[in-house]
Amino acid sequence: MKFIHCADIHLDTPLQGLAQYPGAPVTEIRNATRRAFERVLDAAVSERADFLVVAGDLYDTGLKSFESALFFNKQMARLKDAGIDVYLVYGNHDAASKLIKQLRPPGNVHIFRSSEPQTFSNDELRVAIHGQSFATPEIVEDLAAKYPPPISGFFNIGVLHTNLTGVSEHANYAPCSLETLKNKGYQYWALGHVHKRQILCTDPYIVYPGNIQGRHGKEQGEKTCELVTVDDAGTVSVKTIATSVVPWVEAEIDASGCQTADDVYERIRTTLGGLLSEGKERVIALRLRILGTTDAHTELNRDPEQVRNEAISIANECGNGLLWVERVQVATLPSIDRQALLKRDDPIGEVARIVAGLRHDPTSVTAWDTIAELQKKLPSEIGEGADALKLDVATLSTAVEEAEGLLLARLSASEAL
Amino acid sequence: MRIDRIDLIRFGHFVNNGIDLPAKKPDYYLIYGDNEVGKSTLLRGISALFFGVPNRTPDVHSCKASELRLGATISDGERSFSFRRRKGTSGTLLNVNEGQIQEAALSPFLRELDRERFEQFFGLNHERLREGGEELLRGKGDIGSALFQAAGLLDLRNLLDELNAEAGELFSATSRANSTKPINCGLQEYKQAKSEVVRLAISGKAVKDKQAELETAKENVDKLKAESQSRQQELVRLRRIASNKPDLARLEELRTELSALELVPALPADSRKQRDEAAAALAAATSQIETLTADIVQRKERIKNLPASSSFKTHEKEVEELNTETSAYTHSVADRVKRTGEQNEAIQRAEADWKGIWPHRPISDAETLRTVYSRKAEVLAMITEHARLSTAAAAAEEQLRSATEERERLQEELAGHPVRPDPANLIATIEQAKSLGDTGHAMAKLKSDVERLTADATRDQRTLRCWSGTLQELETLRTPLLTTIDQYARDWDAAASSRRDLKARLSSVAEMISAKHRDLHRLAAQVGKAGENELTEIRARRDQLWQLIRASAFEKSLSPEDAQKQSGSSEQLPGAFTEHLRRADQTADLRFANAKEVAIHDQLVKEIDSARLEQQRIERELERMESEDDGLRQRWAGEWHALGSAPLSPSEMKEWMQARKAILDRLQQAREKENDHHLLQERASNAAAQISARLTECGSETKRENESLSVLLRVADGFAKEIAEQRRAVNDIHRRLQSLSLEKCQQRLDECRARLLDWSRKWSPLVTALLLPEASTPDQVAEAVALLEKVYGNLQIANDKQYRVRRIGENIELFEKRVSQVVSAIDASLSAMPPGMAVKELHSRLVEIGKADTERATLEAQNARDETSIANCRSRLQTASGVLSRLRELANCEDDQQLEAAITSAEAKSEKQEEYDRIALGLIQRNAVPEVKQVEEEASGYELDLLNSEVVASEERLKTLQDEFFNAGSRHRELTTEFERLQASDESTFQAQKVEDALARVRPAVGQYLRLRLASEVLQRAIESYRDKHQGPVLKRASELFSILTLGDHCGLTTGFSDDDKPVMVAIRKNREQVTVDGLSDGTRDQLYLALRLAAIEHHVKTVAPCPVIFDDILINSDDSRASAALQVISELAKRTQVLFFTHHRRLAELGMKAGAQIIELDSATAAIA
Repeated sequence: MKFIHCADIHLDTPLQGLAQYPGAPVTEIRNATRRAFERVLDAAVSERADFLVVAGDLYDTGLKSFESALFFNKQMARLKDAGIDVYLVYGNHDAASKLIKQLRPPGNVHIFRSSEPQTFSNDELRVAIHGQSFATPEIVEDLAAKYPPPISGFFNIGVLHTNLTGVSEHANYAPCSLETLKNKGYQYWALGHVHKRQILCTDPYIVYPGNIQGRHGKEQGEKTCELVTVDDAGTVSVKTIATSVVPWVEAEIDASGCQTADDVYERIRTTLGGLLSEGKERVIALRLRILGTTDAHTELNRDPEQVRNEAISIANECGNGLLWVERVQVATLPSIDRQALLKRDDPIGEVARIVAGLRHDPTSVTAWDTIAELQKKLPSEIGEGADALKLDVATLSTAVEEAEGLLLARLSASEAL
Repeated sequence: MRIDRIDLIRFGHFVNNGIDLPAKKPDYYLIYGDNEVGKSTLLRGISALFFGVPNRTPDVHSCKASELRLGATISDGERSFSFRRRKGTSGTLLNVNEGQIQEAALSPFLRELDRERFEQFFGLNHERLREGGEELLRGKGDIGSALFQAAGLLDLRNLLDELNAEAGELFSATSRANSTKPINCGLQEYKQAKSEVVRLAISGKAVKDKQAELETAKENVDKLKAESQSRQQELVRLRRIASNKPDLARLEELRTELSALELVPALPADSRKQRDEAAAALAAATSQIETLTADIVQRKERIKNLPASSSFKTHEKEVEELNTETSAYTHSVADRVKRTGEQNEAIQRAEADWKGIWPHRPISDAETLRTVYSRKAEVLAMITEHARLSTAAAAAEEQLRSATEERERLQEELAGHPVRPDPANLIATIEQAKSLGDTGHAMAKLKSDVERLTADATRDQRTLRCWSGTLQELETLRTPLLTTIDQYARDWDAAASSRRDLKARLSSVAEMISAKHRDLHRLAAQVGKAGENELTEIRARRDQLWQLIRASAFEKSLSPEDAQKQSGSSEQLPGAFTEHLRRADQTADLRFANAKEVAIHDQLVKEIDSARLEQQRIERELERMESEDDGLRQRWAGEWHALGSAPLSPSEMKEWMQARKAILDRLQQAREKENDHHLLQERASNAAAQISARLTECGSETKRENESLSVLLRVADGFAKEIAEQRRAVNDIHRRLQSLSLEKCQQRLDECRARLLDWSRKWSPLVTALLLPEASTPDQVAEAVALLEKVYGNLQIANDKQYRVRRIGENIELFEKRVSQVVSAIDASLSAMPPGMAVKELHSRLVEIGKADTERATLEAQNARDETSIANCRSRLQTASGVLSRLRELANCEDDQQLEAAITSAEAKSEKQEEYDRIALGLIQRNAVPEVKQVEEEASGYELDLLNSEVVASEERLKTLQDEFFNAGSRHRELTTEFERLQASDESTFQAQKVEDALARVRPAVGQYLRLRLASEVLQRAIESYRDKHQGPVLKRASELFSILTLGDHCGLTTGFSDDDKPVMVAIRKNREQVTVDGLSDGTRDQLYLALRLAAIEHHVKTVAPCPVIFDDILINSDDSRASAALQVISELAKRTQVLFFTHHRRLAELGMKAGAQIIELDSATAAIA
């Protein structure tokens, strides 16, 4: 028996943080979650899987259109033609969306009810699949506790959207413990909710496959689903199948020892060349972090936008249109003695002392007219999501540090420093 | 810091010169000398001493660049430091012994000075003085920028503008919707994409409606399809019946015709063909038999005429073989002659070689030497061995001689080295001490740091505002917490802000009242006194007068006099009442006539009243706030009661707290460094004691109890190296002596000689065996052996050739014998011919006879084949006759003519039967029935005409149905496509991605904007803060100095504003007239620049440390009186810091001397210092 276990599809959720620029591979990124889901289904068909298990969060909360549900139905029809059944629980995101419940999926899709646990069994395959959907977005009780006992002589699969205790920093929905799952007597737990792949136990198998496509810079690396094979003796083997259409990669560039920005760019070029060979002809969403104590600090911080443009240019040059530079973070350190600056009796010393004062109370800058004007104009969404930009203590502290870096860099350039 | 002495060792044209500058009050030296005597060189030299010699210097012309040297002794009141400087890129600071020292050794003296600041403030020539002034003008009057040029304020202003411009490029709060600024633009795109997401979203109702419509269309298509199929089947049936009708009619006709031919006999279908083929076969066979018989007769005749083969046949093989060998025979005859010649030549060569070595012996003796020649390898090996042994013997002899000489030399050398103790312990102690580092420098640095930090802390606490106590008191001073200060700052700012707001509102209300009064005044011309208040007033007066009239005239409750009196009017009561009655009516009429203006007027009056109330309320609120502020100030002062004086504002006190913390931090650092100093000193002493002890152990005789650790280390290091070197040399000699072995050399020589003797013993018999003289050398023997090898070679060749000639002769004889035998057997007449020619003739005859035999065999074979063909023809003739007989019998006829008629009738009957069967089979297959009968039954109910009309009607109905089906199908496909498009739709998703895209674009831009704005604000505040702190006193002092330097022509400096509202510097003439900098004469401008520099120098000397100031002919534009004033001012400066004033004007030197300067004269002839 073979089946595929996937979770956290978040169909049609936009990828965050990718600003367009000339030469960026725009077309490839369009509908990345759809393409990733199609890869899951391709695998189901090509591997001749008996069924597919989706462990919640098929859709994304923020969606207000039926597009996603229609797309899903069409894809399910494709599996129906291939004779593949689908077992699906709704997760917290699905429960938050009222739209999807109005559209009935094809007959091969079995959706677990939300009122109580439900079991679908297949006598031919000798498999029993237990599960329960989320009725509301915020389920705080342990759903697994009420799952039925295993059916003897059958391969029992538990499908559960849950935040397993101590596993992640995700919202604590339907919490349960590893012990509860181990003691249930099932042979495989198909979990969802945590976006990073984890095999928590191999006897029985308790698996978070992670989401199938990274949605932002914090969901790094290859994303996968699980191809689970159970032989006649009941032995389980698990194989991962890569599904990312656009993998997110954070590359750290160690600028230590670089004398000039050109040296740093050369290192970026070397790093990007290596990345592409790992990219398997796919678009890579790339976040660059330039680190280290370097003589090029001043040059890099004088105009961070210039650094970003250079990085984009290098990416376009050696990326063959497959590298999308999401962010370039210059986090180098200067070889400047701050304590000595604080003691200087000149305007540079004043700069150092004012910045030192702002470090104690960075939010005081929100009272400055220019900052207040900006804050009024910004939409609330800019402060939401993985790359949220809020004018809070953390952001302003960083901004103060960066502003100091910028100032010292420019001052250094003007030889005032 | 001051310069005590300058040594110009090799610099410019100075060689081994020096200037002593002993300290005195004022510390003022005027260095006088003609042009080109070296004043400017001296100024460059002082700069080079402190900060290094520039790569491109004009001062390398009296020596090589590497030999350029300067030196100086400097002091700061507590310590003195002598050093030298060479030219180079690093490590150019040297001690007086030319040892390299760290650049940091100068830091305690230079403090915060670098080359740039020194040359701009402390090493001034007239050019630099003016350049600084020009900067003032280039700064467009920005006083701060010019005054603190060294601190980079001008650059800072430019940077500030740059930052603001960059931020402005990113975002503007007031930009229009179509702005191109990245943040504004991104936000606009974000809004558009969001609205697009909503617009393009697919609703549930839309999906359901589309699904229902699709299902209806599908049902309609299915229904029309079923009906159409049914109609199609009926039409097919009718068309089939119609098409059967003609065939059925033809079947009926055929049945009639076949019954008429029932008696005709049946013949095989191919009867005609059989008869024709049999007749043709009869004719062909007869003709062929005749032709073949004639051919056979002709061939037999030809065979008779061919020649017979006779006796040649028995010798055919021998003739063929001899013919083949003839050419080999001819070649052998020629080859025998050639080989005989070669044999003779080889014998002659062998004899010639033999005579070269053994001239008196016959060549036949060569065979006797075969035995010894077989030992050729042994002979050659002995020759090689002899050479090797001779060389080895010579080498051994040379080695023995050389070793003997080396031993004598080393023994002499060893006698010259004394025995020294092992320095391991000393080295270990040195390494241990070195691990402490440069303790002297570190201690000096620590000590310097302690002093500097303590001095800085003391200086800072003296300049700390609101503080008059000591450092210890400052340390223990009880102050409010920072959070408390922040709370006060917020309350303070809030109160100030509220007051500002209230005052602004008060001012605004007053302005409003004033404006409304102006409006009232404007309306007065039209409305006059017809305001609502005036009307009410007149009416009240009118009513009052009426009440008085009524009381006096009708009610009699008041006398007319009292009434008149109470009316308060000089006019009679009735008249006054009438007048007010009239005025009231008149006013009311006026109001009525100017109703609009009146309404505005009344409204304005009301608004003014209301505004006045507001004005009073704000004033009361302000009073209340003043009272609260007093309370806040008192509480604030209470928080700082330990300070002993009134505190500044909370934000200022926050800065005060930071300043205090900085002072206390310095104090703490000073204490820590002092502890480090003590610890290091103790370690250094211990290490020095240990090194002294080890030195004594190692035999050092000098006592060094009071030496510093660094000196001891140098001495000990050198001593240890010296001992180690000497021990290493002695060990080396011993090792080399051991390696020399004379006995071994002698032994090797003896061995070589013994082997040579052995060799000679084996050599003599060999020479004798070779029939050579005994005295033959190995080289002569080698030559004989080589020649003997050649003799043997040629003899061998001669033998080979002789054998070959013999073999060729045998072959020739055998061939000739075989030819003779064959010729005798076949034709004896040919025996007279040479053997080769006889063979050729026989072979030619043999070929002719062979050709005749071949032709005979061919003709006989062809005859046999023709005989067989005749037999076959006869057999075919018989078969054809049989076929014709059988056909006549079947047709029941006698001859071929009757047979022809019978075949024709049978063929006609067969054709009709075939047509019948074909039509019937077609009907059965087309109608898919087992028999024709069923087709006939189905068609029997239809007349052909009616049937056709029914088909036409059915076709028309089917066409209509197909049109409807096509339309319904199209609609269904359209709907299916639409639904599939819906299923594949991603427009809303795409727009959602665009929303994220816009946000992603905005976020970094916002981040960059934030950085730029923060940087710009911080810089702005830093500039203002610095200016607040420093500009005031410096400008004030510059103003005083400017007045002195211009001898009172100008009474000072102040700041004004340029046309574009930027601050500019303004000079005030003694008549109080203000003049901008560019309005000053060159001389006055020089005085201004000097005043600004002197003020800044004084500031540096006061706040940082004294530093020598060098002026190089800066008074070239000043007259005597102003120059005198300048020299006097400089003399005042010299009381606080050292001043060196260079000039080539004798007059200035005299004036300087009067101002207290000591004159030092540079001699142009010798460049020596007088």
